[in-house]
Amino acid sequence: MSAIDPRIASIKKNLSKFNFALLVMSPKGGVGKTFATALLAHILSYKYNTISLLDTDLTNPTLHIVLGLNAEDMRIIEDRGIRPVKVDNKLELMSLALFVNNYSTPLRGRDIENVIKELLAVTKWSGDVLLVDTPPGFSDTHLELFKLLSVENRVFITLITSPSSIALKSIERITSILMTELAKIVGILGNMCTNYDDEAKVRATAYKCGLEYLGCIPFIDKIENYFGSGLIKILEKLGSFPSTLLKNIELLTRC
Amino acid sequence: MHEWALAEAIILSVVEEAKKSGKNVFNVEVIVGELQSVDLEVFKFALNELKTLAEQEQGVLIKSLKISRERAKFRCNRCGFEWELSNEKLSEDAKEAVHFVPEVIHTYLQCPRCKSHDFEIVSGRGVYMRVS
Repeated sequence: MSAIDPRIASIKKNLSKFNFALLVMSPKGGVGKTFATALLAHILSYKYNTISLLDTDLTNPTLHIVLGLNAEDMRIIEDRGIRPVKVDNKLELMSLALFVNNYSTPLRGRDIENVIKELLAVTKWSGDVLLVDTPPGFSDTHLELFKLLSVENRVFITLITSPSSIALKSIERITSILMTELAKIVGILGNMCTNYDDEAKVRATAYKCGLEYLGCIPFIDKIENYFGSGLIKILEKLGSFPSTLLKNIELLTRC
Repeated sequence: MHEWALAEAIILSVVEEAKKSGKNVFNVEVIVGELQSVDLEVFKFALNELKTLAEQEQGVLIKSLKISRERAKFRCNRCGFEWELSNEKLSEDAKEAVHFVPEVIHTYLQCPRCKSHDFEIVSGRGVYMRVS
């Protein structure tokens, strides 16, 4: 008798409705991946009806906080699987925080693979695009996501960096390994840029890596005050940046 | 019900196997891990309903369907202690969370001897299957 993991068939079915999956990645922690993911979700919602968000930071999920949700108020809703948590009319979210509230979950490699599989197998999405917030680095979580998502979806990556020299060097390092894996990288998005010099550094790194420069999100003081509905206010202050970024993503995910 | 989702995954997998192998008659064994607290009555009912649909709509016949349970056992990665789920008492909230994502047991359980959260789920994790 041959052994079969029945979750794979569910994952294929659940993911088949997405136009594409977009992974938000950075080799370096603390560059604002989660914040950038939340902003990207709102930007993508200009074009798509519903954006499905998956927080794959399993040990310390925080995307729900940036989106203005409280883990203790999130409830598991069953519907031949689980429905993602409604953030607003355009965004829905699946996160391990739904199952562990504010506790942490210490996991080893095989457990990480299992959690990613289980979340993808059990979640009944309703969105058009899957946007994935990933933990820093390039290890078990990312490798499992690449494996599972690429079976059914076109998978793209957006790299996030701050203008610090360590973050930019890390971007160069991860880009070279991702390129050898034939990963489709939409481009590099800067975050926490305070002036033109910062933007120029991010732009130069994108050029050096042969990637699209997607722009820079400026440094925002007291950013916690904007979590939740305040994210929209940030986008309003960014002028043409959100629509230019959306056009870039559309262009690069088309082929 | 999650049991319906699990049953659907089993039948979908058999239908996929039929497409891959060109066979249309199967013996299926489903192993249900204790950790996932599957309601076996609901699960069996869902499997039988979906099995009939697969036969009628896809021409895939499941000749025999055996369901067996596997006890959940753990081994501490720090001190090597081994123990079983049956020795533990979980809250209803924890049981529900573990039902959907068994690995969150690492949040709710510690090694009874050294109190570490770093343990291995040796058996009885979730649902898997064998086909022939």
